[in-house]
Amino acid sequence: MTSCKKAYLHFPKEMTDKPFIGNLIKEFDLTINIFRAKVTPGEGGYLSIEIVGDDEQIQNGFTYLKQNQVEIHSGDVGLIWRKEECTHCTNCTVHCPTGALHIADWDTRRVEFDESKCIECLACLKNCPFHVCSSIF
Amino acid sequence: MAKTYNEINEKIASGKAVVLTAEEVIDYVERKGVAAAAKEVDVVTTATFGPMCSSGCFLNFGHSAPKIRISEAWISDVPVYCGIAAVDVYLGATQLRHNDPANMYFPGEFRYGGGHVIEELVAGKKLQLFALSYGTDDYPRREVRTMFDINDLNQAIMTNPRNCYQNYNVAVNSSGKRIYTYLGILEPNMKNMTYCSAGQLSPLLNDPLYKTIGVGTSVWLAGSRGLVYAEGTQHCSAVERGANDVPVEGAGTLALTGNMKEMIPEFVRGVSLPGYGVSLALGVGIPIPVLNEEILRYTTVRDRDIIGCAIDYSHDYPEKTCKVLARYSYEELRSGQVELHGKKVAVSAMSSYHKALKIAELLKSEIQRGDFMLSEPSRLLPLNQSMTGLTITGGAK
Ligand code: SF4
Ligand code: SF4
Repeated sequence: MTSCKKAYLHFPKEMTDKPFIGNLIKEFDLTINIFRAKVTPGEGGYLSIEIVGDDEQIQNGFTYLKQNQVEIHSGDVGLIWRKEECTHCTNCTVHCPTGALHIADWDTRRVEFDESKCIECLACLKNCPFHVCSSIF
Repeated sequence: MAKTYNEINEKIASGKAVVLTAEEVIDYVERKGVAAAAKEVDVVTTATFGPMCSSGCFLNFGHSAPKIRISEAWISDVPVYCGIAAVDVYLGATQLRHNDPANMYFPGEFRYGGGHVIEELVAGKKLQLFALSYGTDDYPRREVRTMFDINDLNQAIMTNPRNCYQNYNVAVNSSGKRIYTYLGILEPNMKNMTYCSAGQLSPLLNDPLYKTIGVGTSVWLAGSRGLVYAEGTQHCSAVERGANDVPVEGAGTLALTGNMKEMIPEFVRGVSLPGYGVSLALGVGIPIPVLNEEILRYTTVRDRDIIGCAIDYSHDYPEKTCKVLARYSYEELRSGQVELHGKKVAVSAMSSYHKALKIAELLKSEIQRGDFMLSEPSRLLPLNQSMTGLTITGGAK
C-alpha cells in the first residue's frame, strides 16, 4: 500500500556527507518532498520531509537511516502550537496558507491547529502576538 | 418597573439574581419581550479581551536597609518610571526592553517588554530588579540588584489610563507593500483586514450612552475586583452614532484599576506586534444592572447592528485624513470575509471573542454566587465631549 508520511531526520555530525535523500529515492523508490533543511557539514543538522511510497519500502528506508545513526521522528510536524496559551484571537488564521490554524467553532470563535495541514511555512510564528507557535528547530 | 442598585445587590447577596451574558440576553429579550424581560433579568454581563496599550502598574518594593530612593530602575531589563516616591515605580505595557533593537532591523520582533513583565508578575514568576540612585542623607544606598516576585511587593496596582475602547477602527492596507501595525500585519493590496472589538459582548457597546458604566463602577479586571477610576484618555463621546446610539468609531474609553495580586494569569498577556512594539492584552468584564427597560434594550445590541469603519493604515490613518474606505457590521467582520471595492478580503481579529465569552460567563457565575456586587457610579462619563488634535508650534524661542 502507498502512504504518505511526515518525518524529521536528525543527522549526527559524522553523517552530514552521506547522500541519504538521494539513496532513499534511488534505492527505495520513494518520493521525497523537503519542507525545511539545515545540514552543516561537520556540525550535524536536520531535514523535515514528507515521504510518499510503498509502506514496506518506507519501513526499509527508515531501517537504512537508523542503521546510519540518523534519528527519525515521524508522525508530527516541526511546528508547536501551545493550545493552553492560545487566546483564540484568530489573527493567525488569515495568514496561515493551508488552514492548519483555523476557526473550529464559529459560535465561540475557538481556534484549533490541524497538524496534518501544516506545511511549516512559519508564517504564524511572527503573526501570533502571543508567541503561541514555535518551531522545534 | 424600575429597579435600584440596592434592590439588585440584595438579590445578588441572597443568591437570587437573574444574570445573563450580553450574548444570551439578545435571544432572551426577543422571546420574552423587553417589558417582561426587564422585570426578570437583574444583570447583564459584558466582556472584552484584547491588546490595551494604555495599561501599566504601580509597584511598591518596600524599603531595604539601608534605604534607597530609586532614581532609575529596570525589571527584567525593562525600564520603569521612577519619578515618584522612593520605592514606588510605574511599569508601562508598551515599554521596550533595554537594548531592544526596535525597528532598526525592520520589522523588529519586539519579543519582550512591559506587557510581558506584567504577565510574568501576575503569573508569579521571579523577576530581577536592578535599581540605581544618586544617594541622599536619608536614602544612602545607590544600587540594588535582587530577585522578587509579586508576593514580595507591598502593592501591585494595575492602573490603566485607557481601556475598553467603545468601538474601534477596522484596518486595511491599500498600498503595494506589507505594513506592520498595532492591528497586526496587513498584507498589500487589501489582502486582509483586522478589527479589535468584542462587538455585541463589549462593555461600552452595551451601554452606549454610559447610563450605568461611570466613575466608581465595579469591574472584573482580569479576575480582580477592579474599578473605573476616571474617564479613559481620549474619551470622545461626541461622535457619529447609529439609530441605536452605538458609535461607529472609537468614542468612549475607561480608566481602570485593580489589584494585580488577585488577577488570573490567563487574562493578563504580553503582546508582541512585529514592526510595531509590545503591549498587554487584558480581559475585562463589566456587569450592567438592568435598572429599567431602556438599559435592557441597549444590552440586546447585536453584531449586525454595530458598525466598524475600515481605514487605510498605509495612508489615511498615519496622515490623519479621516477618510473611511467602507463600513461593515461586526456580523460581516466576524464571518471572516468582506468585500471591499469589489474584492474579497479576509478578516481576522486582534481581540478574542472566545476569551470575552469566557469572561462574561465567569462574571455571571460570580454574581450568581453572590461574590460580585454592583456599585453605582459616583459620576457619569461625559456625553458630549470631543477630542482635540496636537497643533505643532515649534519649540521655545
Ligand atoms: S507553519 Fe504555516 S502552515 Fe503551519 S500552522 Fe503556521 S502558518 Fe499554518
Ligand atoms: S494568533 Fe496566536 S493567540 Fe491568536 S488564535 Fe492564532 S495561535 Fe491563537
